[in-house]
Amino acid sequence: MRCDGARSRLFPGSRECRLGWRVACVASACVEICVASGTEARAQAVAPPGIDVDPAGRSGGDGQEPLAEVTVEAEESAEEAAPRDPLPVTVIDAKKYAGRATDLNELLDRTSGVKVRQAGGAGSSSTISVRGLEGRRVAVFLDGHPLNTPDGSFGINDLPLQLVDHVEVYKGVVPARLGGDGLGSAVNVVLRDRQTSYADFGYSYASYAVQRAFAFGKYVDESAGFKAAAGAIVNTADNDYLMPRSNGAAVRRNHDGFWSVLAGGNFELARTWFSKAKLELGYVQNAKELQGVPPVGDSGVSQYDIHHARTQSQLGVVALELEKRDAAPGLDLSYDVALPYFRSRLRDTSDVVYDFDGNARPNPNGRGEVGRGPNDSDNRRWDLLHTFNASYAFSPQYSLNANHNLGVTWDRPRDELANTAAGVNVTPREGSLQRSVSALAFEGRWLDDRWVTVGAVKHFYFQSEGALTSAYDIVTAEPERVSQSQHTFGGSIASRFQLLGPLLFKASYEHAARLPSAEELFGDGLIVQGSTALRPEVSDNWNAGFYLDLKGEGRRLQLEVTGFASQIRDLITLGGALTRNYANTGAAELRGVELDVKADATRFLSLYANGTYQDLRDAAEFIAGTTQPNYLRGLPIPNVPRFYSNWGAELHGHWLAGASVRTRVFYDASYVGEYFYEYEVSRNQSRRIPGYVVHSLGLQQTFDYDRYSTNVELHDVGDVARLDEFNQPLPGRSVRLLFRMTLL
Amino acid sequence: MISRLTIHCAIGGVLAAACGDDPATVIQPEPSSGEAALGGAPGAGRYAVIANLESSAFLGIWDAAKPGGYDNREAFEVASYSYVFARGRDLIVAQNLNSDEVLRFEHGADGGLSRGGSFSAPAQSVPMDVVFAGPDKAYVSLLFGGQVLAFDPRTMERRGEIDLTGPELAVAEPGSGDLNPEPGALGIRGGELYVGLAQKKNTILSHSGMYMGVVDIASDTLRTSFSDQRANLAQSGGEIDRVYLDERGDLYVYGGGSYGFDPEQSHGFLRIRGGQAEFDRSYLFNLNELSFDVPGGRIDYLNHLTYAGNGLVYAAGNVPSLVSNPPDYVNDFSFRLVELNLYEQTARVLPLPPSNGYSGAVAIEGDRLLAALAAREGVGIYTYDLVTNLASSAPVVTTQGYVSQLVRLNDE
Repeated sequence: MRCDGARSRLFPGSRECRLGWRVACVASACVEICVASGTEARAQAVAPPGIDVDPAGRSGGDGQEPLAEVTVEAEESAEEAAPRDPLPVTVIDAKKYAGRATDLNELLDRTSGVKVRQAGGAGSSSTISVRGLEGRRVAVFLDGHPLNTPDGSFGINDLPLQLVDHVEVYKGVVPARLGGDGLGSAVNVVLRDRQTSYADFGYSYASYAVQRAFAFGKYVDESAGFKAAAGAIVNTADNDYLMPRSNGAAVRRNHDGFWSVLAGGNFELARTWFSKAKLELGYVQNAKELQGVPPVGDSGVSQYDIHHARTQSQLGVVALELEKRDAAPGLDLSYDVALPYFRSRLRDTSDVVYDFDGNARPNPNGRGEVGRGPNDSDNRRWDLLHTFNASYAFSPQYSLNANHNLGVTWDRPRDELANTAAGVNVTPREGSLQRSVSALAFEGRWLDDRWVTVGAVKHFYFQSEGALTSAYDIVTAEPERVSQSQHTFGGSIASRFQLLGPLLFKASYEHAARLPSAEELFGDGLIVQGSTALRPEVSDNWNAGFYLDLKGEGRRLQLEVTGFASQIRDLITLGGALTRNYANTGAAELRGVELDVKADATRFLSLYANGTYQDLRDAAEFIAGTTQPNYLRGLPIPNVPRFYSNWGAELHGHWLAGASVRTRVFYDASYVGEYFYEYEVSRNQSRRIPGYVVHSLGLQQTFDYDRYSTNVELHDVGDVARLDEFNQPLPGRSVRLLFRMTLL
Repeated sequence: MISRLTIHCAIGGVLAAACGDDPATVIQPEPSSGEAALGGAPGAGRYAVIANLESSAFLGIWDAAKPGGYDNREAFEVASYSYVFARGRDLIVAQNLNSDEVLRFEHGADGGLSRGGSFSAPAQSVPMDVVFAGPDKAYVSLLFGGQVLAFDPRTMERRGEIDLTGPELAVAEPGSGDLNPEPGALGIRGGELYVGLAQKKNTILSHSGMYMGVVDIASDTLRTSFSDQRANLAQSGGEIDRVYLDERGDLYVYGGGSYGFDPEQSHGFLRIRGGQAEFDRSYLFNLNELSFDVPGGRIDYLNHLTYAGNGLVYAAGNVPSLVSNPPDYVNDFSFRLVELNLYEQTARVLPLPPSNGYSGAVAIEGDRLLAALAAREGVGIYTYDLVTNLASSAPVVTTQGYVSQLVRLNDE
């Protein structure tokens, strides 16, 4: 029998049904399934086929009462399933936080093995660090597509949590299906794809005038076999928080305003030859003022108090997603293609500069507050991204997966003002980049699924075209057009074994590679010279750990401990003095351990804690280019925190007005130990990034089975002065409010 | 034992020209021996050292009489590629491109180093060269600040500023709006401060010409300015061009000529005769026209100049024939130590190993030259005997970091 016509009352997030309701056909009846956790569900048969249930759901709209209660196995959430994935992955279930006034960066930052390095407040650039490696070494994906935006002008943090289903953080092995290169770590943000009609509205306000408003909606017509969704998000921020100064005073940020608009929609057909055919359109525009930062300490880098410089960015994307399940017995096919277009601008033309005491003076360099001259850039990029995936199950035990990921990028940078003012070309040249990753993966299951092993081989191919500025003559010599291609191989194997019922053992190994970027190969046209001889960075990553899951009546304890190690070679670093370029000079060794604990202590109290110790040390045998033993060998790599942890608690219950009104009180805390900006070689080392402990509190109140939600949070209760990177002050204490309404 | 240098000579490689006619004798100690190649300790004095690591540098004191390698355990962290200047026990650190704070340190009789005061230069001004006009007065040039600041090096109190902004001093690129020169190299003669005024197009390239400003030290006011198109000041955050006062009372000014990136510009010295406030039209030491005993015969700019007296200057010269295209800053050992005779207008290449650009500081101790090099044979301090022509082919003292400043200290 079919249950397509049945409607459920779907009260996601209610106490008993934290993971939502589903309609399914169970035991020859249509049932509403209340999914209480990843592995447990209750169901009640309520709606014979074709008969509607009252959407309010307090009782059957046609007077029907539940027919029976049955117990069914619910589909696990990605978070619940993650511990049994042979790959070392942590999954953040973003849906749990959809009613909270937090964002993706903060969720990632509270994850073991992950730190998010931020340059400032809302809208500022950020980089994700996984086990001490960051930047291009950590691949970032959005729904499986490599996120490859120029200038960091768009990031995953631009997405509100309400749009996100979950976030996969791979630490040590990246699944073959994702493609992309990196040194074994990746973050994949999976967007939410509800299968029912809904509308979702929200508004949040936080200190420093950080505001976000969003509206999403989806219409599902199961009988016609189509779905249509649309949404928009508006973000604005003043980011006018205080920054410390060397003299002990503080100065308020005054030029860090930010706004962005994101809008998009999709249309999906389910009843074509394809199992799923989905067309998506997206558009993003943002504008950001640039904020100067006063020096902290007597070696601090100094900037002007910037009053005028700003950036603007636009992104448009069209994407097509096709799926064909069971194209042949056991064969599933999927094909995605996306065409993003980026445009980013930096306008920096002020002929007046300001200091942090409020004094203005004519610009001694003529124009421009950020660099040594003016900018009025107009950089454009066109991308073509394609992913093909074929999955074939030979039997219930064995399957193969073939994947091809291709990205082609054309860059067209322009800055005539900067070139004219400098007297020569000072902007990168036009170029193109093609990256291809082909992967073949094998999965085997034995001993009644107690033992699962996944192995993969990957081939990376890279071709780029750009222009090299002459090392001998940058005035009259025409840049030389050069084309370069490289390829390399990677591979991984990961295994999970169920030792006892609740105890799993996982181990994995990956040989990973990161290909040089176009900027690293061809430079920026003046200061950063090209380096066409660069080799890929490579790493060998090992993981081993245990996962324990103990359940009792209303209680549960999940504990995961993972040890990890990596050897990294041919690290690409920027060197030089007068002019600079990239070279394969570095090597590092990583050792560490992560501990994750989650506990449902009672039906009303959940606790979590995690801690990461990562010891990333210089492993280069010789000083680069010489035969002299490396004097830094064995020292911790600077600017990388070594120990950090997070912990928190949540009280939840229906204490105020019955089952439809739910209250959550939560507490989160984070600790980061002090670390050094430079190799620790001196007793008088002064450039330190101070450690901190930050506490946050919150209260969420939902009504009408989570249809209406209010949330108030106090972040950084102690108003701790935090610096990220070196000399980048972060916001202190802030109050956040969120109002959300979900209609189903 | 066959050294790497010898191997290069034997295979007739890129260093063949350096091996052929050089009268100097190269000796080859064990590269890792850490002992003075020329016997005994490398020297007898103490030196202020700026050693650069990844993102910072460290200011420390090296006692040349003590054996063993040099590390930064007692050193103080400063910005990368800072400059250090010494007068008596006072050390002034100008932090160059990476910080606007000008720092004071004091070295004690025991060789220890202690932190003194500091003052802030304007934002992004790039404090660069420092000269001492007396015990209570010094000057620091602000390359991108359009100023020279006067300060008391004992108290680190600012005493005044000499404004060098204004279109009358500037050669600006159309559209840049740049209406002032970039003050860099400083020199004092009598009651006058001579300021090298670069005319930067951008951080690398300069307009042609050598421009000088003359400041009255008593009043801290600009007295006059003059220029000459026969030579070209460079001056970026990477390296100071230099002004030297010789024993005859003449000033010699070196201009780096856009560091070889502009083939139209030469590098070399002009002279300002004693009692004159203009360049000597009869003197030009054009180093582009000089043939050096290096592959290709050319050196296209100098770094780390040190005046040794009697018209002799030692410096690290970049050999363009040893630079890859695109450059490889790690493996391009393109800098050769050279001795320049300003009077005779001659030059010779010293038989020290070539260095890459990460290091290259020079100091003179009696008859011995100490050179901080980042050579293929090792990173550290090498020695060259000015009398016997003997040079070490491996570091006599290995250093923790690339040494960019090596400044002899006086206990007076």
